[in-house]
Amino acid sequence: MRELTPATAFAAAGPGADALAATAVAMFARTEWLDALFDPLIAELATDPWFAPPLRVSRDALRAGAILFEDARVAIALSRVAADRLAALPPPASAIFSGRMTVTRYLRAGGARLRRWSAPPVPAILQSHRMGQARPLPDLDLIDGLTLQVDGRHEATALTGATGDVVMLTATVRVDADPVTREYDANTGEFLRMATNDEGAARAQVLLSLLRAGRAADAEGCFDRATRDAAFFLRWSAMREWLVHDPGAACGRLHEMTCDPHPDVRAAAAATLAALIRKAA
Amino acid sequence: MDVPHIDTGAIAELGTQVATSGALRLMESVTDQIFEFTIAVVVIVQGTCAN
Repeated sequence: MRELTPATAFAAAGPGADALAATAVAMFARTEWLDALFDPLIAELATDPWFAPPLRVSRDALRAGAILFEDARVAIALSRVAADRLAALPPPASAIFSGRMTVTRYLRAGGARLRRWSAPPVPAILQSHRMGQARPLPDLDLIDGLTLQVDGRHEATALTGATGDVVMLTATVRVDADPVTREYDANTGEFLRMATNDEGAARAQVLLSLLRAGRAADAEGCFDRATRDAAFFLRWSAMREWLVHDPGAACGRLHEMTCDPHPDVRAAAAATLAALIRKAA
Repeated sequence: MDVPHIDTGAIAELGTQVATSGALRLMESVTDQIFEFTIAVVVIVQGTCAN
């Protein structure tokens, strides 16, 4: 019988988010793969207190965790939310819709409650006024061993009220994800802001600033390509950097962007072109 | 048309803003925050040297 590991399980899974989530649910119902992963690490720590387990860790104000498995389609993390830290925080001010499917098994529920919200799906054209409103759903009391699938494309959750530490195993599915993570006011449901889930676009935006600041002589191709990216915010960010870098070279593309597929880019391009014309007159 | 120099502040912003920082990420890699910090330092240093 083939050994169950995240790699073997997800290699056999179907391609879509639903299939990967179903695989995570089935995996989380079994613990032998966790024992196989942690037993040797615990044995090592028992003999060497300085042993550093080969796991990528992350911490924030609320939780500490380690990545147990990661590939292009899914990541599995084990995390702990300290009850005293959760209690010290004010009630969640916002509901965060990650845009991704997650499966969480609450190994230790800590007596926590899950606040929940729903929101409309991400619209085809990413504009703030099209994001709709988030609505509260009934709270869910967590129990040890509970496995919960949350579709971050239209659901959000937040832990609250824990009397003990909460230990969770979470699979985050990266395929079929929304292009953005959305944040809504937890009380009014009003849309607040969004952040890109496209790490490539985020990095490109930063690197284009570097090209402009470095006055790179041969950067025109980079700026031009970025103004044609699928991400509308990167298209305009690239044009902004290009205009400061070399307005003469950028102007032709700026004119084309007055017909961009995204209405906000069209409006920004038209306003900027008009400003340039006024300045040149 | 002779295109004049334009400052960043004079270029229109998008009506819809999309953040690129990891502020809203949940249990995601923190390496991009280090990357952005590094680039920001380079931009500041290059801007300082150019002046």
